[in-house]
Amino acid sequence: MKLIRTLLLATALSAPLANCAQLQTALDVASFTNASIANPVTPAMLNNLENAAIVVFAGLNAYRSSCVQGAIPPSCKTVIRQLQVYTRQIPPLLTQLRTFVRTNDQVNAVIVYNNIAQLVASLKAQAVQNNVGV
Amino acid sequence: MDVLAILAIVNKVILVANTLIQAGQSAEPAITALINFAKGINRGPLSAEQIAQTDAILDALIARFNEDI
Repeated sequence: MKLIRTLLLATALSAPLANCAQLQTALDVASFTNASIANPVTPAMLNNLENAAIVVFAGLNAYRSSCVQGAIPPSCKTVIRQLQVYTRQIPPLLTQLRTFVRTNDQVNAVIVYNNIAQLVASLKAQAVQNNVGV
Repeated sequence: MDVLAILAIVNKVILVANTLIQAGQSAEPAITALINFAKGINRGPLSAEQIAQTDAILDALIARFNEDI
C-alpha cells in the first residue's frame, strides 16, 4: 500500500513538469552532457548525477541480492566481479568531485565529473550486456 | 506537455520498483532518486541537508555493491 502511494506520488510529481524531455534525458546516465568550462559542474548537476547513480546502484544491488540468494545462475558472481572493476573506481572520484564542486574548483571538477559520467555509462552498458537490470 | 515522456517516467518508476521488490530490496532509494529528478527541473538551490542525504544514500549503495562476493 505504501509502495502504491509512493508510485502515485512519483506520478503526481512528474505530471506538472514544464520540460519533460529534460527529465527523460536525466533518467539516462549515459546521455549526460559533458561538463566543460563553458558548462561548469553546478551542485544541481552533481546532484542529478548522484540521483542517476542511485537508480543504477539500486538495480545492481537487486541483482547482487538475487545472486547471493541463489535465485539466478552462479555465473552472476563473475558478472558482479566484472562490474566491480568499474564500481570500485567510483568512491574516491566521487569524494574528489564533491570537494571540487564545493570549493568551485571548476578545472578539476569538470575533469572528474566527466570521468565519473563515463565510468557510470560504461558500467551501465556492461550491466545491460549481461542482462543486469539497471 | 509531452505525454509520452510522462508515461516513460511512470514506466521507469514501476520497472525499478518491480525489480527491487522481486529481489527483496527496498525500492525507496531508487524511487526517491527518481522523484528528485522530477523536483530538480524547477527547484532552486539545494540545501546542505538534501545534498548530504543524496550523498549518504549513494555512498551506502556503492559500498554494498563493492563488497566481495
